[in-house]
Amino acid sequence: MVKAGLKLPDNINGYLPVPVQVGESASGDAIYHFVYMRRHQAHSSTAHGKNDERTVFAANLPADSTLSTIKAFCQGFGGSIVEKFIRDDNVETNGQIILVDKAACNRVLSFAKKIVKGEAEPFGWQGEGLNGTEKYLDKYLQTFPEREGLQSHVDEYMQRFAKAEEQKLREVQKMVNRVDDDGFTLVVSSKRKSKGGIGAEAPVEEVVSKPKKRNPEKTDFYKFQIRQQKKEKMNDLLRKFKNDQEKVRQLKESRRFTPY
Amino acid sequence: MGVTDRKKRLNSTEAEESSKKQKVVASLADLESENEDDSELESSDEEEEGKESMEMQSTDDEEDGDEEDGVARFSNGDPKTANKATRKALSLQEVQIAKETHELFKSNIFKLQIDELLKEVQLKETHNKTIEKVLHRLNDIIQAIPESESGLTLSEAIASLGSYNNGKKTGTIAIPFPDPKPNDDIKYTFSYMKPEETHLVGSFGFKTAIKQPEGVTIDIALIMPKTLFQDKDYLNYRYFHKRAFYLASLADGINKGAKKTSLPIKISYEYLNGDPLRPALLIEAEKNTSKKENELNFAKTNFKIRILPGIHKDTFDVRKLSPEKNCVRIQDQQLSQLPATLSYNSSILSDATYNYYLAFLHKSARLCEGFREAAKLGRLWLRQRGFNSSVNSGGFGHFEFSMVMAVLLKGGASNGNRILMNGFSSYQLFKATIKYLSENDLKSNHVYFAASTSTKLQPATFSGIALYDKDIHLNILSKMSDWSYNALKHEASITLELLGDMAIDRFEILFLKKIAIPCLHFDSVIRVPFTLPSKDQNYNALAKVQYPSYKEFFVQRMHRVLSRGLGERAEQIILRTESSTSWSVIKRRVNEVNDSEVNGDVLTIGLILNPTECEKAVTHGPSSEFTDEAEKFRQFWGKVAELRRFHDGSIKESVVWSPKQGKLVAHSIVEYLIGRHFAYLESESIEFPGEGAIEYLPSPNDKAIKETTVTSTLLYQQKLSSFEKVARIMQELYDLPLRIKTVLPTTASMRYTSVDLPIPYKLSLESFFDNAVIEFETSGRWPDDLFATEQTKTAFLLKICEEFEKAIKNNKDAEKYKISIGISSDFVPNVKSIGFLQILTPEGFGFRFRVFNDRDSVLYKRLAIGEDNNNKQTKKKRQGEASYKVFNQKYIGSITHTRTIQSLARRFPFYSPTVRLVKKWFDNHKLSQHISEETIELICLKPFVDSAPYSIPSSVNSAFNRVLHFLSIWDWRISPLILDLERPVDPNSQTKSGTSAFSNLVQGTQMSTKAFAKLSSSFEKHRQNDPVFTHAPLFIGTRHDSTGVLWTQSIYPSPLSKVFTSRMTALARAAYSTISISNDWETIFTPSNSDYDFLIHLNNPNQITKSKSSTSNGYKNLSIIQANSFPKNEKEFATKITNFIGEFYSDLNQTYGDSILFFTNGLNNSEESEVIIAGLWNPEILGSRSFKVNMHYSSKPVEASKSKKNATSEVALNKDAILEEIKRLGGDLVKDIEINKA
Repeated sequence: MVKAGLKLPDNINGYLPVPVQVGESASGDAIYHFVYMRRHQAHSSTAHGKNDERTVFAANLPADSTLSTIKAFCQGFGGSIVEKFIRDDNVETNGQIILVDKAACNRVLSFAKKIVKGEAEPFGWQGEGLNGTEKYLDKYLQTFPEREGLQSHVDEYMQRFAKAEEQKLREVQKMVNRVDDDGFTLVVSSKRKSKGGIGAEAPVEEVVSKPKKRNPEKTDFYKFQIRQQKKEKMNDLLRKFKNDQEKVRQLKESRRFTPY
Repeated sequence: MGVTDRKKRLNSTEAEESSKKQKVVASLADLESENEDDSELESSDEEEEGKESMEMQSTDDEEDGDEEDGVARFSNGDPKTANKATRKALSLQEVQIAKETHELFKSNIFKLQIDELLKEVQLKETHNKTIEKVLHRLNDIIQAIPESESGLTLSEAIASLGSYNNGKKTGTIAIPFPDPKPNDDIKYTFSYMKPEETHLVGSFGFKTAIKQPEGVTIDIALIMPKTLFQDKDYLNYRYFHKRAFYLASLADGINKGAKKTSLPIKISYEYLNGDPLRPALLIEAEKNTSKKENELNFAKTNFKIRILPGIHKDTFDVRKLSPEKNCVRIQDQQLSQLPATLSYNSSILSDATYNYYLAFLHKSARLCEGFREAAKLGRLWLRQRGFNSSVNSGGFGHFEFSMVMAVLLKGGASNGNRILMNGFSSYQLFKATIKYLSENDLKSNHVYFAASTSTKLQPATFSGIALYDKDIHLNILSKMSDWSYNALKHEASITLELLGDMAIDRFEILFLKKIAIPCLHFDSVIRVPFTLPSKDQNYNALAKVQYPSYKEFFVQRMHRVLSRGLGERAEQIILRTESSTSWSVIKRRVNEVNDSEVNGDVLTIGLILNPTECEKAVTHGPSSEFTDEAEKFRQFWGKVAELRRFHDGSIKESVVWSPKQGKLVAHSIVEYLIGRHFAYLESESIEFPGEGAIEYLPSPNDKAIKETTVTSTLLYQQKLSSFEKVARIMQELYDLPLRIKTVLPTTASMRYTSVDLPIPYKLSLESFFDNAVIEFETSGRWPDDLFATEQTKTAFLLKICEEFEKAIKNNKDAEKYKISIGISSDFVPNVKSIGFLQILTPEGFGFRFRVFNDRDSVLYKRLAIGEDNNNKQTKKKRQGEASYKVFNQKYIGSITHTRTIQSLARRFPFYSPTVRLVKKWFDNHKLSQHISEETIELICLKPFVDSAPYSIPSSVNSAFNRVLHFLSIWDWRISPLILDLERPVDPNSQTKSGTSAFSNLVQGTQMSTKAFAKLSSSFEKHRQNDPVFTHAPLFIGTRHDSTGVLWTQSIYPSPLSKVFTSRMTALARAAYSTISISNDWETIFTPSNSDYDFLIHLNNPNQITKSKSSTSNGYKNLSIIQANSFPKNEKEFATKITNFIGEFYSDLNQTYGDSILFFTNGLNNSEESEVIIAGLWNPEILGSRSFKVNMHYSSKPVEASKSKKNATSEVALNKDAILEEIKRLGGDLVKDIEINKA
């Protein structure tokens, strides 16, 4: 049933390595992409914890996976129906596939196991329609919305934003009067318009310390001062000399003194 | 000046010196006493021992473990105290050195480097010992040569010589008579007598010989007895003929003697310094001798011995040989006066001075400690610049340099004072000599000297460059010609500027780097093959007596014609020929020039052009009123000369040259003049090897543009003025909530550096749209949130849009402006919805305006820092950092950058085409996506703003070569590129007294030490922060970017950054080596595809969209430059403007950036060649590894059969699937994918 040569481990670190046919090589062999699947085991604290029993975690999905392609993909596992797809924040090709119910979830996984074991035929990946020049042409055209629409969109947004800012400002004002656990009160400028940036580190500006004003005191009055100065000058000279020696030594090591 | 006078002066300087030394000692004594006091501050019980050991001996530094100074190591006593004491003793010694070098050298490091360099080029002692034995044996042989009978006739002389086997054939030793050889009916006779004196002369004799790749030549002067010559022998070549016989006899005698005493040598003749009147005998070690173990075999030493027959100073009356005298009486009725035989005369005199000048130099070196060291420095300096004593190489070499120094130690200043002092260090001697050479004109002011003090002869008057010995009547610089003297002065002036550089250590380019590399040194290189002298009618009897060397004659004449024809266009015309080689002693002479087609002698003409003059279209002649001069002008220029009326109303003779993209005006002139004045040369045999490069400069197939000079910026100016118009309208909009403060351009096409010329209406240009930045007057009312700010900006743009349309309503071009508002999602990564105002102008250009607000920096910075304010690296923070970087580039950096480059491009006319060509090179080699345009622009500035050791390039060719050369040798890991963008002070406006050398021949020598130090330390810091080159392998610091990485940083740090850098260096190295040998431009610009793992062949997007688009018809073959309107249909416009390949490429990078490094060509000019996106698998992810869920690349399980039993969790990169995926994503863009390596 299954094409020869595809011997797969039952699982890889607990994941089912599910082959998905994406093409054929010049010699006619199938080319497989592998999606690694397993039942989702989220930490109870996460928001979607309640969906655990109907969620499949899939790693290494094809790069062009979208909700619709994943829906089509899961159709292949006994017609399982996908409700939602939550993409991973860090790895774009990983994500949680939330199916309509627990049964669908089980169906996907058992079907997948069959494929991995070679008891069922792997199936292909259905890419999305828009690719190549059409995709980019579409992208370009999307760039230019109707001017009126844009205007009202922006206006609307700004109104919402202004409201939200007012709300936040009120919160900030409340914070001013609150003493925290350590006994500190937050100091907020009366001119501050929003909460943004509070608590965040202020942009680090390079602090250039201004040279102190020259001491009007005489520095070459006492003998020890003169001697001290002389010594410093000498030490300075010597230090530079040492540095130079070191530099030349380095140059020499990199064979920099051959003129030919 | 009397003898006593000089002595007094001498003494006084010696006194000066000694007092100076005393001063140093005195100050050291001060310090010593202070050291005693200071030691109280340290542990006092160590003091006693410390002092003791201080007096004991000088010791080396224990800590450094540096034994190279050859100082004895301190060994006795308690190690701990000894160590301490040692350090102190060392300090004292070092302080002395430090102080001395500080006073006598430019800096300590300079002195240390000189020491190292001289150590490096020192001759090997073992070699010296070997050659000493050889010289002794040789002397014995020479002394044993039997004297000939006196008074041999010509035929007897010829018959007196034995035979020689030169390895290939045996023949009688020939007498190397110079031309014309003696007739059979000559009255004078020949004979050989033992040399009266034998002198080791030349640099070996003077002990200034240095290790050289081609070996060291040891010159031995053999002084011929005076009795061999008659008083009149100086006339009509008689001296040279007798000398030639003498040399042949020596050759015969040495050959026989060597065989007898089994000295393994071979002999040949060679012209001394290219002088055909003076052959010399060259003795080299027999290389393939069976007697390898012979202790006299000096093959290994790479020494050569040269025998020079010489004469006593009083053999001839030197007054008869002074430069203005004629010594070759030719029969020519037409001549009222015989020409001076300057070259002939000095050839005889030079034979009389081998030992005389050696003694002079020895004396100078005795008095002046640094003399020999300075002579060696001078020698290296000259050598790197292609000068030596041979007439073919400028006629100024080590000997001439030393003589100049010796003369300057005795006087030289206009008031007769000494220029150099005996107490000078080698560095001071060198620098003062260079200064002297650069600032004095030895052509208009001859310098006279007397090596001995015996005579006070009146110097002769003659023209030419002169350092004239009044005693001998010899001009030491007689071998120099105008061009070589100009070149020497030029190099000396550059060097003087470099020596004055306070910020940057220039030692390397002063002494260590070869400067005389034609493809780098010259703006233009022209190769002219020699013909035989017999084919050149100009080389007549008269010319022959003045120029015994045909090469010299030809070169001089060429120089005269070209320098007259090129005038101000050329700063320097340098003419190089190969020095003639040695030839077998069985032949009288070798043809001075070889005219064979394959390996013939070639004259290489190097032009250093004047950037502001060289491309001018008109050569101005005299006004028509001056009939004589007008006639001369016509005579010189021939049929191209014409009378023209100029704007100012004057009517002048002139020549007009039609500019061409691919040919320098200077080349057209040279080509024409050689055709006119050297008609016997075949014009197609003249080569301009650099010309091919410009063919690769993208240029529209348009006649009008092809016929402009390559420095023309007409189209750029059109675009700029179109922009100005729009900007002015905007700035005059009053009905805006905030006034517009500035509207500034930011992209390459607005600073003369886009790879394509900004052709109007040409939408397919990648650089069609300029991204400009609008800044409003300051306001405190902007929201404190990035997204809201962007929305506000869009609102502003909408308002501007409205007002703009109102403002142009009455404009006659109103219809032709096309204005729209767009929202870009990828202008700054991870910041969606940045609005822009797009304006297409009636002139056919496009601009996109975005708004910048002061407060943006803070908001973007907030993204980079992250809200949680800790150091944890999250994806969000990485993205924020990327946004912040790009924001800084596109909104802040690019404005300054554009302004700076604009003004530099105007200052350096060849900068713009150079950048364009270099960008093209990067693109062809699929590198342009890995280096920002700004980075390339900065790199291309290098030869312009930091031009040392050359002057500013004045052709695309030289600038391009220098950029590639720079890239090929630069080690970015350890060296920062620091560019001084400050415009140097105009020498005319601020003349400092006495610094006439302040001529700005080189750029970049006046950087402030502080600025340089700041950028250097910024580099050090950067390297510490980025030790593995993931952030920014390249560092380019300028006054606008002290971080040095604004344009070079990776937006997302990646270990692959360095892969690109090394590839760039490797490609530049390959290209430069091609340039330096063959000028095969096709190879240089043709990419190699074999280094990549796979190649994605792409379909031409224009063709795809054309077949799909229903609206486009009939425009297919219409040249785009002829288009004078934009497409009406929106979709058609979109099809033309969309950069499909660029989009696809950036999609691929986004998707596979962690696993594949992509390269592509043709983002700029996708019409011409096939477009390829090539890929390299990230080497770090090859091979199998344990599966992890957060892998950033597509993997597959390793097949069980291949993996180990327990390795079932192993996965490997799934290459095939990825490539299939790429095909799917690319859709109709992908033609096919070719896999190079399994």
